[in-house]
Order: sequence, then structure tokens, then C-alpha cells
Amino acid sequence: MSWDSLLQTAFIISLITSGIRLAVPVLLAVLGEIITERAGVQNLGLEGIMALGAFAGFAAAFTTGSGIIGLLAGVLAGMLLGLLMGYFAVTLKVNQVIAGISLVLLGQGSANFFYRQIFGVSQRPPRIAGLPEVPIPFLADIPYLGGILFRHNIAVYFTVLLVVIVWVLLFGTTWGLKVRAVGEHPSAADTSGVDVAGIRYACTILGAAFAGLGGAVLSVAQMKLFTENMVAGRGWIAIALVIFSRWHPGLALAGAVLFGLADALQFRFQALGFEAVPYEFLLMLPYILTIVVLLAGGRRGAAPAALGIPYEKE
Amino acid sequence: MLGRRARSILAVLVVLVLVAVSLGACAPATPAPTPVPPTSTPAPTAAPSGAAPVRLAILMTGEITDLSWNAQMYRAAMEIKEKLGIDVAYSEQIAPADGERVMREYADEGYNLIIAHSFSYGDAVFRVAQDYPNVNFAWAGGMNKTAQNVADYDQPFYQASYLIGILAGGVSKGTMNFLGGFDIPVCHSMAEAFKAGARSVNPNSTLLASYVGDWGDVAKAKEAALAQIDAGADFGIGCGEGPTLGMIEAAKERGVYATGYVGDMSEIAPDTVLTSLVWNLYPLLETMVKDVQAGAFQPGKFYSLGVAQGAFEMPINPKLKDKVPASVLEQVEKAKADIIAGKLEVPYIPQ
Repeated sequence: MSWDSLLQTAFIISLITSGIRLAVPVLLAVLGEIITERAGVQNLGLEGIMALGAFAGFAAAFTTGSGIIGLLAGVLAGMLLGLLMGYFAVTLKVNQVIAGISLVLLGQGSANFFYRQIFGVSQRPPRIAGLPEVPIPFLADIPYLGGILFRHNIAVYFTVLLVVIVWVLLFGTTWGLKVRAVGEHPSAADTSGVDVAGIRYACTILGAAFAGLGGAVLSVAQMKLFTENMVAGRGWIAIALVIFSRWHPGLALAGAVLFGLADALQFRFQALGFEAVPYEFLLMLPYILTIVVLLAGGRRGAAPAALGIPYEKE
Repeated sequence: MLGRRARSILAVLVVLVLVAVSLGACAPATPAPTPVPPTSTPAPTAAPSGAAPVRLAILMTGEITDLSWNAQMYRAAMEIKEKLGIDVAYSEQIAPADGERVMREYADEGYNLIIAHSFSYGDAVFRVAQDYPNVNFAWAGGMNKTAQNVADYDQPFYQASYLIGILAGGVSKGTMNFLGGFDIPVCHSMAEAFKAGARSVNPNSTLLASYVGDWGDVAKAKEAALAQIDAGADFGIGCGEGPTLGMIEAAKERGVYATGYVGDMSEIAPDTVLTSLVWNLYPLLETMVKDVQAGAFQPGKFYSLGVAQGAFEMPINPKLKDKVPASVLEQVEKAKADIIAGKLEVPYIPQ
């Protein structure tokens, strides 16, 4: 392989579009978890929520023939598990780490269980139509940039929109201020009349809805099929990326895209026969990147002060 | 009196148990995906009179819905249960560390043929076998490591991969792609044999080989395959069902060809999947069961069932049959006949 091939425009366009596609499902889960954690609840169940979202999205798209309904079903499935997490964390005030991990098992187990019950054990997985690629008129024809940014399925555009929405919601509205207050100092928020339990429930359900959507994007928009283990650790990577992003949607976008790009790049190195480096090392690249950034970024007090601590009214 | 924390943990457990029970209650009776502890499904008919009744138990590391390794074993096990009327039990998702315990449970329950269907059960199977000399064991070592009551069996996918390589070499413009989960001997030898098959037809052809780093991550596999296709590949083969399903999706989007893995996948993408590498485990199971019945299982053998023994097929997708030149099909058939006749030995390059 020559270094020239890395600088060709076709290579770069294909690299960046691939990075964006890889980033989207994780980014959705990260955005959701940022909302949840900003309110002081740590939901470690993302991996399970994404699995159930992926299944629900697939099943709904298969039944109705509509990819959009599939995505909505993923959101709904996420909300359901979010409600359960809210009940554990807010009402029962249990250890959130344990509740989150049990949610992983419940989500994965029920997704696999229902898939087998409904679709059976088959050599030929059923397929759905999925979401078509929607080039945005005019913008898609811009040289280079058009191919990179404006030739995706609608889930990609919607995710970018959600970054902005979450950003504004958390940092530009009264509700967002309340959420952050509840996550930093719930008793102070309570004293000034904020409904701590209500906010925490809402944020947990909303956050899980995002993760459910992320799962549905995987099965409905990207693969058009459901397989067991298709989430493959994205839920855990999302949790690391929340720390990486310092609980901020803008940095979450950067982190998820960086992670996606690292993966896209190592696949291209492999395909082009970049033999100087063993493939195992290339596969490690995104994870090494995460560790380095986590070390460099550190915590520096970015975490909500009341994260993971149940609120007891005095 | 329980503390608050203990009460909360208890509450979580109760809810989870309730959910698990309610999920279990609505499960149909057949075919039950069996978690640990192992349970058996009674045989529909009695074993043939005169022969030792065989009770077969199978351990799998993954799920029977994996469309591949475990799904094929599950299918063959159900077929043998139906055809030979023997007692068949299986446990899926048994981590290698739990393998020893589950094998002991099966042996204690009177199962006399226990198949540990993964290379990673190797240590456990030899330890357990020492304590149960009258129980027959088999493991998917593929390296001719046996004991008095432990047989080994291989999975010579590379033989079928060579034949598909010939087909690909005749259809492709010259660049092909291979995508595996990890660079393990089964996958590596498949890639090498595929390349050799393709080069026997088109000496100038190249093979782009990549590994996803995951067996189940279909979305990543798709991106890996897109990278290969963007680099010029137009005919792909996968090792592992996740890599293959991802590759098929990528090939469909880009309008190139792909190969189905272990099962006939042409229905998934009728314009994309030109052929499939189909692995049939039934001949292996039947041979082992009959050996046990005849008392000939011990000392443990190395069962190697490949193209010559009918363990592999490569059905051409009827919809795409006209894309394959007749001369190429003839070359495939000739190579297959040569392998069966023992005139051609496919090179095995595991690493």
C-alpha cells in the first residue's frame, strides 16, 4: 500500500462517511446517558436497552413494513426499560450499579427470547426494507462535502439534530437548569421547589429512549436484520464516552465521530493490506484512543456531584 | 430486620425473578432453548434393539440461533434425534470455564456421548474424561488430540472454500475479499484456500483479507466489507456468521457478490449471494453415534469429514446461475471430483 492512496478524495470520503455511520448508534446512547446522568442517575443498562431497542425496532418494522415505525418502537422499548430503571433508582433507591447491570441482562435476555419466540431458529434471518438513503437536495451535490455529510439515511440527520436539541435543552432552558441542579445538589433543588423525583424519572426515561433508538438504528437503518449480540459492546463504549465528553452533548458528538473514524480507518488499513502493523493492533486503536483521552481528560470534577446517589428527603 | 440496602437489592431480585418466571411460563414446549441446568428432551422412539442406547449431550459456547457453528450443530442434533430416535440434550451459552461442571452433570445423569462443540472446551473435556472412563467424549479440537475416551473432530471449511475460490476467480474481475471474526486457524486456512482456488483460475487475482475483531458485530462487519469493496473487491467470502451477514449487506448496497456461510443464505439477498458454503454436521454425528452403538468409539479417533465425505455443499443461487460461465462450473466440478477421488489435496495453511 502506498501513502498516496490515503490522500485520494474517494478514500477520504468513504472513510468519513463510514466513520459517521459507525458513530450514530453510539452517539444516541451517549446523548441519552448525558441527560440521565446530568439528573444524578447513573444508568449502566445501556447495553441491554440497546439490545431490546434493536429487537423491538426490527420486529415493528417487520410487522408494519415501515422503518420509521420501527425506530419509534425502539424508542418505546427504551422508555419501558427506562421506567423500570427509574423505579429502581428513584422510588426504591437501590444501588444503581446493580440495577443497571440487571437491566443489561434483562434487555439482552428478553430481546433474544422474544426474537426466538417470534421468528424462530432459522438459517435465513428475516429481512426488512429499512430506511433508504435520503440525499438532501442541492446540498448533496456539493463537491466532497455533499458526499460526506448529505447522503445518509434520515436517522443520521435526526441524530445530529438531537445533539443540538439536547444541548439547548440542558444549557438553554429552565428545565435544563432544574435537571442540572437535581444532579448537582438535589436537596438544594428540592428546597427551591424542584420535583427531584419527577425530574429524575423523566431524565431516566428520556435517556433510555435515546439508547433504545440507538439500538433500533442498528437493526432497522443500518443492517435491516436482527442478530443476537448485534449491539456488541456499544452500550459500554457509550458509558465511557459520556465521561470522555465531560457530560456535554457537543463533546459527545466529537468523541463518537472520533471513535467511529478510528474504526473506519483501521478497516481501511486492513483492506489495503497495511502489513507493517498487525491487524490486532489496528483493532485496538479505538480503545487505546479512549483510554488515552480518559487519562488526559481526567475527571476534574466534571461529573454531576450527586451522580449515582439516591436522594433522601430530610 | 433487613437494612435499607439489603431490602432494595431484594426488591430488584424479586422483580427480576418474577419477570424471568413470567417469561418462562409463556414459553412453548418445543423446541426449548435450554439454559443451564441441562434438561433432556425424551426420545420419540426407543433406540434400535440390540445396540447400546446412546444418550447424546452437546455443549455449545454460543447460541443455537447464531446461523452458523452452533445453529448447524443444533440442526444436526435435531435431525439425529428424529432419524435415529436417540435421547438428545444440549446446553447453549456455556462459558468454557463452566464447561467442566456441565459435562460432569451430563455424565452423572447417564449421558454416554458428550460433545463439547468448541475448541475452548479442550482443557475441561480431558479433565472430565479421566473421571468417567465409560462415557464417550468428543471435542472440536481439529488438531488430532485424542484420549482413550475422547475423540477429536475437525471442520475443514478450507476445502469448500477452495472450490468457491475457483468459482470466484472465474466470476470476479480480479480482486476478491475475505472477512473473518478473528485470525484463527479455521478462518486463516479458509482465506488461503480461497486465494489458491481463485489463482488456479486467474493467476493475477488478489484477495483483500480483513478481520472484524468480533463475531457478532454485524454493523462493524458491514463497514469492514464496504472498505474492501471500495478498494475494488467484487466477490466476497466470510468466516463467521456475523462477518458474513455484514458482508452480504455491504455487497448488496454496492452491487457485488458475496458467499453465504454454513447455511444456504441465497434467500437473504437473491441478487447478491451467488453461492453458499454449507456445512452439514449430520454425517459426523451419525458416524459417532453408530461408533458408540457398535462399541467402536474407543479408543478416541480423529474424525475428519470434509468435501469427500459429503460434509460440505456449495449450492449455486439459481437466480444468478447465468452469471457463472459454464467452463468455470466445470472446473469447480472437476476439482470437487478430484478431491473425492483423492487426486487433489487442498493446501491447509492455518497461520
